[in-house]
Amino acid sequence: MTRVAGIAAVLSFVVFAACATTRQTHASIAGTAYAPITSAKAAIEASAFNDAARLRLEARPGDDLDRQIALLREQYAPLERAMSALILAYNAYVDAIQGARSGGDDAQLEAARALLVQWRDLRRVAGSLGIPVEAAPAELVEFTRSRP
Amino acid sequence: MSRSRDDIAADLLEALGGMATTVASVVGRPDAAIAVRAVTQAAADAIRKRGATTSQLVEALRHIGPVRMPWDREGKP
Repeated sequence: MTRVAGIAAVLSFVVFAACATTRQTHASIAGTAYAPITSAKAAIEASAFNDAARLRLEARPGDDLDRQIALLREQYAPLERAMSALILAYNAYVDAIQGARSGGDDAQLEAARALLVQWRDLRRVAGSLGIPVEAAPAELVEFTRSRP
Repeated sequence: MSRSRDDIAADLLEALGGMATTVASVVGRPDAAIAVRAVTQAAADAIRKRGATTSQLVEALRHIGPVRMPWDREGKP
């Protein structure tokens, strides 16, 4: 009986240790992803502000500035949506990591995959508007690919 | 902040220390358990030069604020 209990305890600990390591991996990935996402956000905001400011500076008397801004807004709408979706996915990933006590929660992996999907979508949309967005961290790609 | 061999080694040491601790406790040697745990944890901490535990890494994560476009401010740039 003691031996069985001992084996069970050891196995439990191995599972716990593996889960804790997984959680640390997720935390490392999220930490790595933070800077490029905030950089992309800043680049998109700066681009929109520059374009809007240019419209104002180059406006001539009689120009319908509101309409031009509205057109610019429409132009940026897909990018704004994609960036917002990526931020939501990242924040959800952080929530999943912080919410997982043992780290073995599948929600972390699902959130990581959702983050990768949104990241690729943003790159596609931003690329079509000529705004470069850094690729998703290799750790995120490799980790999501390595898990079933 | 990719995981280095040092990080992995530190994690493995901690896991091994935990297993040895559990085994020692189960066989009725709590003194050995404490000693093994102390040694392996110290070694893991020494290897993990950053000194960041999983909890510290998790706590360091921050949310990202919403996108702010020029037209979000009263509709004008």
